This record gives sequence, C-alpha cells and structure tokens, in this order.
Amino acid sequence: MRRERREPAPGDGRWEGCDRIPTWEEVARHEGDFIYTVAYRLTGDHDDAQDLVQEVLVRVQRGLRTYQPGSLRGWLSRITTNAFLDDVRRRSRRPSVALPEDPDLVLPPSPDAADAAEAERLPDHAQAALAGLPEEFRVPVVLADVVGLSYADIAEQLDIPLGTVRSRIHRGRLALREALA
Amino acid sequence: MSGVGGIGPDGHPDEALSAHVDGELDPVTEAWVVEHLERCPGCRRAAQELAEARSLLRGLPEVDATPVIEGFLARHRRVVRIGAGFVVVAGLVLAAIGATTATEHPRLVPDLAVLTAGHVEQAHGEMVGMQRQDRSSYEAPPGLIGSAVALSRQEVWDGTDLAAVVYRDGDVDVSVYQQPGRLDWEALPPGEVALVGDGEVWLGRGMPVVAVTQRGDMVVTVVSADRPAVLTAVAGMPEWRRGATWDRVHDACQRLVRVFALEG
Repeated sequence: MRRERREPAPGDGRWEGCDRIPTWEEVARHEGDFIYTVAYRLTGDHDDAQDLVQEVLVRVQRGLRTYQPGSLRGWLSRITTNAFLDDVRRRSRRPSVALPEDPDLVLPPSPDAADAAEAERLPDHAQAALAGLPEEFRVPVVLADVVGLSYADIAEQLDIPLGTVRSRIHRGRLALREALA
Repeated sequence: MSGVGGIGPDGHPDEALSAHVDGELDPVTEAWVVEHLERCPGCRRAAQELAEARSLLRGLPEVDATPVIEGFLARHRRVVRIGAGFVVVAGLVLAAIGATTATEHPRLVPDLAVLTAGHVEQAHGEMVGMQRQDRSSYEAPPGLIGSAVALSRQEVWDGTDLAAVVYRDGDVDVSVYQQPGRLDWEALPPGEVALVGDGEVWLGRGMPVVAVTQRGDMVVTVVSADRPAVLTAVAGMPEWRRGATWDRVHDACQRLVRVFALEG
C-alpha cells in the first residue's frame, strides 16, 4: 500500500499539458491516489477523506464539461480544497453533542480504511502533527508540501494575499516543528 | 508580526526563512537572507529545522486509494438483473460531506412528518430548507438497459445529516433513511414496539407505515405503504458504523435489492 513518494510537482501527471480532456473515470483511476492523499492530509481522517473524495468526484463529473486542459492536478486540488473548506464552514455552523463512551458503538473499521491506515503507520507522527494544525495553517501547508503549489498559486486558490500565504506557511511549519520536536 | 518582506522587526529573517526554504523570495531578499544566515547561527538552525519539517511532509507517501476508487466506480455501474427483467434502484443521499465525526452523535428522534412527506411525495430533493443538492446519474454498461442508480448529496433543514435510499419496483416502494446518532426512544410518539431480528423497532400507527430503529451508529427510519415491506426492509438493514456516507448508502441499495428483488 505504500508507494514511493515523488517530490510534489503539479504538471508531471499524465494529463498535464495534454490537449485531450480526460473522462471522469480516467480522472478517478489515474488521479484517485492524488485526490485521496490531498483529502487525507486535509481532513486527517480516513472516513472523512473517503467522503471528501466522493464529493470531489461528483464535482469533477460536473466540472469536466467546462474544464480547460492544463494543470489537472491544480484543478483537482482546487476542487478538493473548496469541498474541504465548504465542509469546514458547514461544521462550524452545526451544533454538536458529544456522545458518551459506549463500547457497543465501537465498530471495526472498514477494510479500505484499515488498509489506508496501515499504509500510514510509519509516518503517522507527521500526519498527526499536520492534522493538529489549525485549518487556516494546515490548508496552505498541504497545498505547498503535498500538492506542490507555489505561493502565488496558493494565494490565487485561497483568494488571500501572497503575504498571508507566506505567513501561514511559516507559522504552520513552526507549529509542526514544535509538535515533532 | 513580520516586517517588510518577511523580515522581523529585530532584523532577523522570520517569515522569510520559510519562503527562503521554498525558494519563494525575490532575488534581493534572498541574497540578504543568505548573507544573514552565514553570520547568524540561530537563524541557520531555525532554517534547518523548517527545512526538515518541510521535507518530512513532502516525504509522506502517497496513499494508495485504489480499493476506495474502484469500489466507488463499481457502485456507479451496479446493475441488478432479476429474472428476465431489470429493477430500477433510485438512491438519494441527503448528507453533508464527512459530517459524522466521532464527536457528533446527537441523541435524536427523526422528523417523522418530513420523512413521511418525502416518501409520499417522492420529493426528497425538495424537502423544506435543504441547502444544496448534487445529483448524479449512472448509466448501465452497454447492452444492459433499464437499470440506474441516481445519487444526490444534501444538507438538510436542521443541520442533521440524512442519507436516503429509495427502492422501487412494480410492487414495492420503500424509503430508508439513515441519520448518525442515538435514537431517543422516549421522544418517539406513541406506537408499537416490535422485535425484528435481534433488535427492537418502533412502528407508527398511521399510514404510510413508519418504522424507526437503531442500527449500529445510525438511526434508521423506513417508510412504505406496505407494512410487510417495512418489516422486510428493517430486517435487511445491518449494524452500520458511521464510516463514509456513500458506502452506507450504496450498501443500503444493495441490501434492498437483495431482500426485495433477489430473495423476494
């Protein structure tokens, strides 16, 4: 389940620079790992990542009609980030009630989630540190270090000033450094 | 708070250190930072640690999501054949994305009036207060006609996540709703409590027939004009964990097809 990780480089995917627009299934099959990885780094939870991936694929299905060939991964990361931030906003509006501890409700994880969790066991301290970052720092850090976007692309994608991107990435990395110390 | 160009008020690089590590500085600031690092051991150490944090993240492996993706694609192509004909399964997912976190298991009683109206009017997408709707249709593979699975995802009127699957064929019309939470049995209106399988089920007294029960992490509500169909559907539902919303919904689709079409 574990794969060699290449340096993030949007533009090196098989659809980058390709004139043909991929089909929805091609996007799902060829870029599914990428979407899932970004989703998991953003959410920090495999169940939430699965939901996010499925939501992204639904949005991709609708959006492919208007997609202009270019940086497919940049486009996918934008959809994933927007879907994630939409969910964060919804959650912030939703009241939550804590569930009392009840061992009967602790059910085994699904095979998919268990496999993915196994794949993450080795670097899980880094993942935990990332998941512990406030969302406003985590998102730009993920876009920089997982997706591999430039500061300018991150600023454009999140619609925030370049200086804010630089500040948030720096503060996010400082917090990571502290958490990993 | 950083000064101009990510340089701190104390004359050290501050935010410019991360931008330096990322190669994101303009040439003038970059030259200044490089020069500063040569004479400032503290900033050199800080830059090294920031670079290590950056490398650690960039070294995280890409997750192999093949099982998740293939499962998702397969569900979209699901075709169920019954005898000489085909059955149509319509699935509606009315849910907020990833909305069921471990800390969100409210004690709840379903809004039976809304769910019943949704079933009777077959208007799940138009229920009061829904904030958004995404619907997708999935065509059967070539050569197999007449089968489809339709899905939509929504956030419902009161902020509660709701997943609905509607099963229809010539004889049966059943809606099954799932909501994450613990059923507040005491808050249900007067009705009958029956034992279906190993679990207790609340049954309403009106028409259409409404059943409510707890299945794992989910409060499950079943609505149909046909009482045996309600009981059959309830008996066919598993102990769902919260998991991914779509997995549960597709699972419900499969189980309804199995109990009504294949075993019925």
